[in-house]
Amino acid sequence: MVEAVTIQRPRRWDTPFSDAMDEVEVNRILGLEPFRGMDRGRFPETLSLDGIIANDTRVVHFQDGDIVMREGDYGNSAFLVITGQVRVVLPPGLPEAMLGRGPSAKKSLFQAIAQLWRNPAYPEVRSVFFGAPDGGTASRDDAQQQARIFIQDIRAVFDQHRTAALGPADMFGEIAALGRTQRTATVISDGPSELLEIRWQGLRDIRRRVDDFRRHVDRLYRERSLTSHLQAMPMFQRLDAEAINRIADETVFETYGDFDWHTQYQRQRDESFSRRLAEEPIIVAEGDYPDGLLLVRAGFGRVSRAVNNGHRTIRYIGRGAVFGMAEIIHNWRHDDGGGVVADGVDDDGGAQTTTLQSTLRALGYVDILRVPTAVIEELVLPTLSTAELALYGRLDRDRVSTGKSRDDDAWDNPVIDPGMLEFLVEHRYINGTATMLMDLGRCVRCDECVLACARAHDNNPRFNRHGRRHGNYMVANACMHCMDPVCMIGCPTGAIHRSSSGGQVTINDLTCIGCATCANSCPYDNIRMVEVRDGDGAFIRDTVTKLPIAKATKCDLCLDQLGGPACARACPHDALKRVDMQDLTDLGRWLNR
Amino acid sequence: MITFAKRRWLNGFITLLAAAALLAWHIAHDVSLYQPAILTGWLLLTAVLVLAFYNGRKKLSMLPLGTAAAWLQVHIYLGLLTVLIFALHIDWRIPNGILERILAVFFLAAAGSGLFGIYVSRRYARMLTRRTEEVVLERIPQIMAGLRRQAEAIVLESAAETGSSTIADFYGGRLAAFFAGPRNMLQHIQGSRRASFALTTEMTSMTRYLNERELSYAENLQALVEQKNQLDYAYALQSVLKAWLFVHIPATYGLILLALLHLLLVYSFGGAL
Repeated sequence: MVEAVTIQRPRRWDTPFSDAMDEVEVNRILGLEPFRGMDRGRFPETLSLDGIIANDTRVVHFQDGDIVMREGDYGNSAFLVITGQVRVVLPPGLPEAMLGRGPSAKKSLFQAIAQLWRNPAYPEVRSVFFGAPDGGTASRDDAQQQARIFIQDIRAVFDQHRTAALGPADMFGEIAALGRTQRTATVISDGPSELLEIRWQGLRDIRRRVDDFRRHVDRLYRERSLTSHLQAMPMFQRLDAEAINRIADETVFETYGDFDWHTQYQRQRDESFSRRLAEEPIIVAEGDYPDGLLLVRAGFGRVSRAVNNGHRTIRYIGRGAVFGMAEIIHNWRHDDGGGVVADGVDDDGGAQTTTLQSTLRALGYVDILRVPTAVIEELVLPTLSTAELALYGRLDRDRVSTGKSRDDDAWDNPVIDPGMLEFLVEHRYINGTATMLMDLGRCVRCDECVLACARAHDNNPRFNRHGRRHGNYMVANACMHCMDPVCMIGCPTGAIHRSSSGGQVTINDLTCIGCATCANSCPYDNIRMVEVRDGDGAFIRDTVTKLPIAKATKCDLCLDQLGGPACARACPHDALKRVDMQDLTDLGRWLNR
Repeated sequence: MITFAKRRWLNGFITLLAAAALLAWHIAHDVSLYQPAILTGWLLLTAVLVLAFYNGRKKLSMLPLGTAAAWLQVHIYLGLLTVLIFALHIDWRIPNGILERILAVFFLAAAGSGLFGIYVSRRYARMLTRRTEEVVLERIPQIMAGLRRQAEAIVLESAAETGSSTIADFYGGRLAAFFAGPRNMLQHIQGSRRASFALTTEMTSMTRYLNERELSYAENLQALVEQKNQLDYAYALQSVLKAWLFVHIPATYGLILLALLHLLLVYSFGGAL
C-alpha cells in the first residue's frame, strides 16, 4: 500500500513579502510612525504587529524620477514614506504614454484593409523590438532586479504638472489597496526615496486592530470617494448634499473573503460545489433581519436561497449593486408592528415585515458599504416614486422561476437557466465585461471568428475556440476584460492596463518585459506568453542570455480596429457574443433567443 | 436583439412581400407587352452579385460593414427570393439553349447547395454539440493516429502478457482498418449507428473467449473504439459542414462568369431589345 505524503498545512506567512525583513529591519520599522504609537497588545500572538511587519511589508528604494505607482493601475499594496520625498501628480495627471501605456488610436480605412496583404507570414512578428522612450520614460532594473520605469526629464515634469509632496510618515495607496479599486493618482519619487510597501493583508489586519489607523483610512475614504460613490447611485440621486453626507457618516465599511481570490479559486475549482460554497463567507443570511442596505463597493457576491439541503444561486451581484433594498422597502410599507415572518406573508395572506429572502455570500473578495436601515427609511425611501419603490422593492422570491416562456415579460426580465447561472458563478465568469460566450448549438465550427481575430492581429489569433462547456454554451479562452482584473496586479512596468477610451484591459507590447506576472495571475488562463520574431521569422533574442524575448499576448477587443471586436462581427450564425456579465438582462435575452 | 423565431417571421414576411411585389410587377410587364426577361435578368444578376459579395464580406472582417450574421440573413432570404426571380426569368420552363441550360445547372447547384448548407448548418451544429466534445477538424487525424498507437500498444501488450492471440486476431481482422483513418462517414452523416453497433456486438462476442486478464485489455480497447467512433462522428459532420461550400462557392463563381457571357450574348444577338 502506498503511504500518503504528509506536509505541514500551508500557512499565511509561509511566503513572506520579502526575505530581506530581518529582526533589525523590523525593529527599525517598528520605531517609525505610525507603528511606533500602535498598541502591540491589540494584536494576537499568532498575528503580531512584528509578524505583520516581518512578513507583509518590504522596504523598497526608488531613484529620482522612478514611478512608484501609476494612475489607473490596480495594486494590492500601500506605501509609507520612510526617507526622502515622493510627489503625487494632481489632476489632470500625466499623459498615457508617460505611464508606459501605448496609444489606442484606431487604424485608418486603408490600414485596416491593408491587413489583408501586409500581415506577416510568421507568427508573432514584431517590427519594433523594444520600448521606445516615446513618452519620455525608460526602464531599468533596481538592486533587487525589479524593473523600474523612470521619467527621464523629471524636473520638466514637475514644472509642467501640479504635484503634492509627501514626506516621511506619509502613507499613500491604502484606499486602492483595501478597496481593490484603481489607483487614483500617479506617484513619482522626488530624489532618492525609501518606502515601506505594505501588502493588503497586513494593511487589513492593522486596520482591524488599530482604531486610529482605521479611522484614518475610513476618513480618507469618506472624504475622497464615498460621497461621490453614493451620489452616483440612482436611488440616491434625489438626495441633497446634506443627506448624502449624513449617509456617508453613518455608513459602515466591511470586507469579506480573500483578496487573493484568484489563487484560492484556482486551488479550489476542482472541489465539490458544497465544499466551495461552504468556504464562501456569508455576508448576510436568509432569514436575517435586514438591518442595513448593502452596497457592493468592489468584488462579487452570490445571492442564493436554501432549497432543502442545498443552496440555489438565483443571481450574482458585483460592483455598484445593492442588496436588501427590497426587504427594507417591504418592511417600511408594512410597518404595523405585526411581527416578522420569514416569507413576509402571514396566515391570512396579509403582508407583514419580512426577513432577508436570500443569502449573500462573498465570491472571493467583497468590499461592502452598509447603510443602516433607519437611515434609508428616514432619508431615502420618502424621496422615491411609487414606480421606483416597485422596482427596487421586487423581492428575490419573485424573481425565481424556472420557466422559459417567450412572452413579453419574459423577454423584458429574462430568466437564466439555474444550471447556467451556477456554471457562470462557479467558474467566476461573472468577472467578465466582455466574456466570449459561444452557442455551440449554432456554431458550425467554421472558425470565421478565429480567422477574423487573426486578421486583426498580424495573423495571430488572440483566443482559442475552446473552453469550459455548459449544455450548448461554451466560454471560450479569450480575455474577459474583467471588472476585477487581477492580471494587472503586479505588472512591474504598467504594460498591462485599462484603456482610457473604453476600459478594455490591454497590453502595451513595447513596455511588456515578458515577466509573465499577468499570465500567471489570470485565473482563466487567457493570457499567453509568446516568443517574438523579426520579419524574417527568426526569434528575437536577448543580447546577454541569448534567450528568446517573450511577450504577453491576449485579446484586446480589437481596440485599434474600426468596427470593434472582429470575432463577434465575423460569426455568421449568431453563435458568438462578447457579454458584459453584469448585464443580466442582455445575457438572459441572448441565452433565451 | 430579437428571438430567432421573431426574426424568422419578420424576414419571411418581408421576403413574401417582396415576392408578391415581384410577381405583380412581372405580370404587369407581361400584360403590357414588355419583355420581363430583360428586367428579371438584370435583377437576377444583381441579386447573384450581392449574394456572392457575402463571401467577400467574410474576408473583410476588419471593416465595419455590419455583422456577418446580418449579412447571412440577407444572403438566405435574398437567396430564396432569387430562386423565384430565376423561375420567372426562365418562364418556369427548362431553358432551350445549351449555354442557358449549363447556366441553369450552375444556378441550381448554387441554390441547392445553399439550401443544403443552411439545413446542415442548423442541424449538424446541434448534433455535434449533443454527441461530441469540442475538437478541431484539422486535428482529428492526429488524434486518430494517437488512438491507433494506443490500440496497437494494448494489443501487443495483451499478446505478450497473456500468450493469447484472440485480441490480436480481432484487431488484425476487424479493428486495424477501423483505426487506420476516418470510417463509417456516410452512416454518421445519416445519423445511423449501425456500424458502431455492429462493431460493439462483435467485440462483445469476442469477449466470450477471453480470460479475466484479457478482458481488462478488451475493455481498454473498447474504450478506444468508442473514442474513435466519436471522432469519426465529429469528422463526418464537420467535413460536411465545410464540404458543401466547395460546391456552393465554385458554382456561384461559375454562375457569375456564365451569366456575364449570357449577358454579352443577349446584348450581341438579341436584336432590338
